[in-house]
Amino acid sequence: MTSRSTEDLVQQLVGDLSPVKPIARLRVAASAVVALWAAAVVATSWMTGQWPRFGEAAFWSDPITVAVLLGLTVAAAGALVAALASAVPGREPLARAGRISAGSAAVWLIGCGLWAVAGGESEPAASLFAGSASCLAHALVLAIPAALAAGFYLSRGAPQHRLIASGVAAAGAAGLGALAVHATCSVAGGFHLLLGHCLTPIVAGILFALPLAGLTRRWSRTAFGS
Amino acid sequence: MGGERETRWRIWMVAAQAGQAPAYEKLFGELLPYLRRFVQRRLLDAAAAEDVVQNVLISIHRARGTYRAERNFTPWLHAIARNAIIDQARQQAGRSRREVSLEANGVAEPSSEPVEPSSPRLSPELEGALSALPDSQRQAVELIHLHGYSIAEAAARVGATKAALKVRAHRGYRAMRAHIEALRFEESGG
Repeated sequence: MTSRSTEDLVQQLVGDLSPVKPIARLRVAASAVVALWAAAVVATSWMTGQWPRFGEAAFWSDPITVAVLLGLTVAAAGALVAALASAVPGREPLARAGRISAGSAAVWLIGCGLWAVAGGESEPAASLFAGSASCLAHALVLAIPAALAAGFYLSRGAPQHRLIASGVAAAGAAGLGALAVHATCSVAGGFHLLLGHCLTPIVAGILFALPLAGLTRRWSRTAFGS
Repeated sequence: MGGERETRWRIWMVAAQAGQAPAYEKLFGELLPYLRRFVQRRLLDAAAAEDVVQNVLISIHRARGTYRAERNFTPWLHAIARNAIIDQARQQAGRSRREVSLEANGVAEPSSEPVEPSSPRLSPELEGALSALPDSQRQAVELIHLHGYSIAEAAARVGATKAALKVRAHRGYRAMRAHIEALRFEESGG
């Protein structure tokens, strides 16, 4: 390769130039993600009649329930910040901080779930799995709008590792979904808390990294033609 | 001085986002020597450094929408350049782990200067493996590994995207390795 070939490349890139709209601010993107999630939660609660139990004293009196609520909040916020920031070059420190927060929160959530299992009574396996699967599915459905919004932002950005960024975005969106489910769910039981609430972000991150990465790649191609 | 340059680059980048080619050309005109210094300070191999500079330019072009005028331009640029350097190091490490060594099979060391495709010196074994490839893969392997073109240059020559060319070359490499291994297995009476 020669310096002349790099000059040729510059000429080619200048010739290819077309106007682009600058990517939205991170806080605008994050607000959009949260707003879509909130809309989905309100719509679902209105349809099912199950509203968050924040007004109930029993909700706040159980330390494990509060600890899981805190863990899901930090996991969701950290993962979404990490995913969105990874789409913008120069925001790597913020992305790193988000990943560290989300990772710590995931460990915290597993710890809370195991704490609940250790301290709880034995649960019948059939109802345990049915109830956990129902909460997991509900959380994933609630996560869809937020995941799509985060994926759209990723498609407009330039994530260094699209698959990882998509997995983290899916985990963050599922964390929001699990947060809503956790706030409305009144099912007791340690295994239910672990399988149906605490592990939701991790499961979603693993299951939906690939589909969301594919979707963001497709949107990116549609927008930029490459 | 640095502040003036930062302001200038920022203005040119914003103009480039609006589609103004002269501003983009001026920006690249100043970025090119700056990027060469930035990358060469971090990579010892001059040919690899020029490859990285080209990748950075392409990344800037693709990611130009991710720059926001209210933020400094230089940290954005540095992040893209650092990512390209990391990618290069990763690819280099991966390549040396996975691929059959062309040199070990009788191919001349790729020149740092591009040469027109003519008659590269190949062992009969490699020539057979290369000729068994589909045209698109053979062309990719020849341009990158025999004639020493960068990915960007080779992609521009065949009119493909960088990613597509990398995939073709990688598939070509795998097919060549399988071909050579099968040949050696047969020769050893296996």
